[in-house]
Amino acid sequence: MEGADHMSTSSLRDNQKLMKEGLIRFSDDGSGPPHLLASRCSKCGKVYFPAKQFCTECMNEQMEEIALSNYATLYTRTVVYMGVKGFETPYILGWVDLPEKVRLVTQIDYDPQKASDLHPGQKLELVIGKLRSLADGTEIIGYKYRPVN
Amino acid sequence: MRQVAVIGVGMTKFGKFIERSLKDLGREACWSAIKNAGIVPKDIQAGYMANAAGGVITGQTMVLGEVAFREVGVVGVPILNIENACASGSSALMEAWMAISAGFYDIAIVAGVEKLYASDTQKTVEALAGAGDVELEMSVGVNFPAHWALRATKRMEVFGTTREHFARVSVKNHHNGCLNPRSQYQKEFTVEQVLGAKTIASPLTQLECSPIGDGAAAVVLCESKLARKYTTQPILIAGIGMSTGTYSETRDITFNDIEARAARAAYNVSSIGPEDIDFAEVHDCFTIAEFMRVEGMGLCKPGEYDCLLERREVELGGRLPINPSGGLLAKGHPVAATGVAQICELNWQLKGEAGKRQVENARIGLAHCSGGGIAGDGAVSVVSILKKDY
Repeated sequence: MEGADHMSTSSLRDNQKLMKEGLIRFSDDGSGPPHLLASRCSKCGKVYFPAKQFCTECMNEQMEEIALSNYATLYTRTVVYMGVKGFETPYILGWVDLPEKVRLVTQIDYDPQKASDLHPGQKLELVIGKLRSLADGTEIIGYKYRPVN
Repeated sequence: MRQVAVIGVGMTKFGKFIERSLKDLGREACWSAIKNAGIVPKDIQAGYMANAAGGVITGQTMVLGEVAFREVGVVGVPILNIENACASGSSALMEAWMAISAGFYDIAIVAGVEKLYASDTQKTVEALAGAGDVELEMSVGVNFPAHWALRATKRMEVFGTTREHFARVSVKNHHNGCLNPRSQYQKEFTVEQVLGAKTIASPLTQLECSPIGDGAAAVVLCESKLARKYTTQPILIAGIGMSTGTYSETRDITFNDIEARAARAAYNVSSIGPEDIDFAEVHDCFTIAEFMRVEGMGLCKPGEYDCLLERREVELGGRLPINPSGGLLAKGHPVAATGVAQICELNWQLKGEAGKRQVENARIGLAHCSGGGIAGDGAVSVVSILKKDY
């Protein structure tokens, strides 16, 4: 189930669980790619990820649900050798910037041995896949990014 | 505002004390601070206890302050338990300073107590990872070494800082730690050894990360006029400032604006500027953090810390010694004890009691302590300025 394209929530296997509900929007029938789900203030246009019910900038409670762009640019990265429990090490982490002025910390789905290929400003695309495994074998599914070929 | 003095300090050695309890560590530090102040427990009108991970590691989830202060006879008075991650101790200090300054109490005790070593190391790791956004960031693989490594990579790109520059901080602080009998590590390292150690999160190696540890520190604060009754060498708290992150998504992460805000608040209330500081204890949880914090507080310009290291200006004997105690990297980092231990060090330095690591002619010292990390920003930052008043 690697790859951001063409999947729905029903693509999740029994041993797979989303990292958190409400972060990713899948197309109902799996006919289109999933997106990260955010909210945009109808007054000032500020975008919040994860989605919020109100805008703390202008006190507006009329928020519009939006799908974030599936492309991002790399801001900075590191290769983690001693990681969070359940993550296979080494893994690459990066901060990525989305066109909607959202900056995310995320895993970069790429060979850690070749991390030096990844440079600031590089174009990345969203990929939905396994982040880590729990002790009982459950796979936690979430968002990550990979270089665009 | 009334002036507040530090009249007594006490600290355990930092290290691995599997067999000692939080209460036991707290008792040692508090009792030595009370004796050092020349007061009796009944003189103390309020207690502030800082602890961050005790609930997870030891099961003492609540009222550690009441439990530990009781051991030294501080009972029947207001006691607060304070958690603000690695800045818990300095946050507690700020609360006590404000309360005495405002006239609510004349004498208060502040303690920071922490046990991080547990029979199950995973427990320690989880407790520490909890100093961030557990729901959104830990779940994608972020831990503290990674949080700082991401900035280290950016700094190298923007300022041309090298891994050798980072390593120099570890070498310097480990050298200072050798001169501090309370330091967890008393061992010299070379730049080559630091760079050759195991990588934790690139470019940071194990010797660029502060160790886990156990320990406690305590200080007794007193209104400054009353302080003259107990000491002829009062050390004044000139000012304390605190700030938290803005988590702005367009921040330039090569500059720690959180430290700038906390420092500005401390400089304003104390009428002391960065140019007046003789030495500083700075929260070097990772080598990169020392660069970001010193620059954030305006002790040098952004990007300039590399040169200060090259010119050896921040070593003992230099123009502005940074972390004469050995810092978190060598002295150790029992989370909530750290901020209070920094005040102990400032007190000893300002009084000329710092032995082999004494900073010459130290009149004004700064302690910087930070806690947590959210969205690539610090969660909390506290800057305290102390000065000699004799």
